[in-house]
This record gives sequence, C-alpha cells and structure tokens, in this order.
Amino acid sequence: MVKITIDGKKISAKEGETVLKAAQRAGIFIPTLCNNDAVKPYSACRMCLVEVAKNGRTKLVTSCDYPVEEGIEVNTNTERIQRDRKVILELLIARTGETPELKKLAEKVGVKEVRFKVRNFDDCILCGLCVRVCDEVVGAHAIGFRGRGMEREVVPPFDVENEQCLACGACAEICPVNIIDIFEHDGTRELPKWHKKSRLVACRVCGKYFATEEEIEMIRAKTGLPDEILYVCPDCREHNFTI
Amino acid sequence: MPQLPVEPAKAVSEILSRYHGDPARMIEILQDLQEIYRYLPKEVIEEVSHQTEIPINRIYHIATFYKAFHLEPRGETIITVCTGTACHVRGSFRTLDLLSERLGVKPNETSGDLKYTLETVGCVGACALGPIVIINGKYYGHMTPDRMDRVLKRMGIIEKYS
Repeated sequence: MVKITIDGKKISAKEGETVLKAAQRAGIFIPTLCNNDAVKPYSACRMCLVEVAKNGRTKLVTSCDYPVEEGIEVNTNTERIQRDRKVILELLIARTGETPELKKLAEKVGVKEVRFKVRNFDDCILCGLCVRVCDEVVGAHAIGFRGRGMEREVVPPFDVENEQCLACGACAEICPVNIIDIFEHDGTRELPKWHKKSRLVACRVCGKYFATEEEIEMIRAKTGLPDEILYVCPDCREHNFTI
Repeated sequence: MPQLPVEPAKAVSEILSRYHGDPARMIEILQDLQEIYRYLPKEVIEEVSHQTEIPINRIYHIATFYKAFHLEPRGETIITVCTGTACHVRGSFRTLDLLSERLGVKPNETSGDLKYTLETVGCVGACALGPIVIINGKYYGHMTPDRMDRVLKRMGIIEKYS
C-alpha cells in the first residue's frame, strides 16, 4: 500500500496503480477523454492533468499514466489546472466541433464559450483510442498513426484497404468525436475511412445480419466452434443453446 | 511497379540476422533496408512485419514518423538544396529554380525515369558555406546558378536536358 494525498484526502493506493485509478476509487472526479479501461493509458488528450507535489516542488502530470508514489500530494482542481484544462478542451472543440462527448466534458470542466474559431472540420483529435482498441482488444492491427506534427493522422497502413480489418466497428464505437463513419446496407458493412467494405453474415435462425465474414473467420480461428454456433446470432444462440 | 533489385524476403532475413532479430532495432533495420532499395517499398515493409511478427501498422508508423525514411521510389542521383535561413537569404532558391528547370523535376519530386530526386532541406549546419547543395552526399558550397550549371555539366547531367 502506498499512502498519498489527493485534494487533501488521505488515500492508500495500490502499488503500481496510476493516480487516476486511485482518485477514481476514492470517488474523486478527474475529467478524461482518451482514457478507457479496455486499453492502456496513452496520455494524449491531456484532460486528466493534475498537480503533483513532491519534495516541495509541484509539476503538472497526466494522471492516467502517472504511477502513485509514497507521500506525493496530488491536487486535481487548482486554478492552474482549471485554466490549462479549459484551454486544451477549447482547442479540441475548435478542431473538431462540439460533439456530444466534448459538450458533456465542457460542462464538467467549466468551458462556457470557445475562444478560438471553431473549424468544425470533423477533424480527428488524435486520441488514439481507435488505434489502441484495434491493437489491444480486437488484435487486428488494421489501423495506425502516420506522420507527425500537423500531418499526423490515423490511416490503415499505406492508406489502402487491408486484410487485417475485420470491419468490426470497434473503432467507430469508441471514437469520442464520432468521426469514423460506419454504414450498413444490402448485406454489407462499410467503413469508408479505412476503405473497407465487408459482406455481412445472416443468422441461420432469424435471418438478421449480425456479423461480418471476417469476424466469423476470426472467431472460428480462435475458438474452433462449429458452423451451427458460428452462424447463429447471439440472441438466437441464447434461445437455442445452453452453454 | 519496377522489379525490386533484391528479393525482399532475402534482404530482410539477412538484415534481421545482423541485429539478431531484435525488433527494438527497428530504425536500424529500416535504415539498412533503405540503403539497398533507396526507399522502403511496401513489399519490404510487409516482409519485415512478417518476419519480426511486429504488426504492420507499427512499422508503418515508424517509417512515416521519421523524415529520413522514404516510402516512394527515389532517384539514382539525389540533389539536396538547403533552403535554411542563411542559404535562403543568399539566394539558394535561384539555384533550386535552375535545378528544377534543368532536371525537369519539381522540388521534392523524383523524375519519371528514377534518375534524379530534387529535394529541399531546412538547414544542414554548414551555413558558412551557403548556399549549399549536396549531390549524392558530396557538398558543394557557395552555390550560384552559374556554378551549379558548371557542376551539372561536369557530372554529365546537363547535356541530356538542355
């Protein structure tokens, strides 16, 4: 156990835990955007900034990947943090427009108006959630970053269609600014951003489309389940099989 | 797509053995491969991914992050013109214009026959010699359009184009 102080509250945190986790367990709110329990911290969005005091010095760190240390004093809501957070969020909104998730965050952080010109380009904020979920959860490694600085963007390798993408849509689901479009029509699923088009598989029982061919093949390769189970949608599976 | 001079599978396995297959040496591995092909062809990156079992999106990220890596074919002769502040104020753009005209290549492009690549660079740290032009690793200082023409003639580049 590691003893730390967050906002004046004495907390015993687990060894190796991050400041964010410790704060969340203690019921202290720290705004986050690029953090998700399903994937590793990435400290890209800078919303979770906190002030850490150690040996009489304070510094701003991202709490999502800062490990707890014995005796540190953490402040999550000083004037300095509030000011920095607001500017960061305003810049994010200026970049991509006011999406529902950013709006919610703006209320919590206290951004009332955006002082920058909102471009509303539906621009990616480069939080890396889609890349991480594809790498760490799906395991497909179908998309990644390209370039750096102003040219940095998320693309499939070489910006062409690839076989790794399962068209599972996890990236679209997790995107906090909803810029990854996903369309389903006539038995196909399309993710134009990744140049991906997949055929959907219909459930053998109810006839509803429920997964892409690539997803089925991936699950087959991983689990070796027979077709009678693979080609039945989760709803019907619950009715017909007891596992 | 031109035929690659060396089979990617062979080149990659040979270079990986140099680094004992340690994927942490990815930058060195890519540098060595670029030395063979003058750029990093898609097939080579795919082969590196295949042999190191590092996902292709990671390698593509590294290869696009560093300016030193090129994903498009480059010319046999690479001509680099410094357009940093010191070279610029001494008129390096005039030499650049001349090269572009003589070679028939726009700045930062490669000629269709893969003979020449003309590129610009921020600063090469040889400001005292500015404007500076680098041809295949050889430095030419105090460059003016006139002197450039003479260099091109000496290298046998100019007759073909003027």
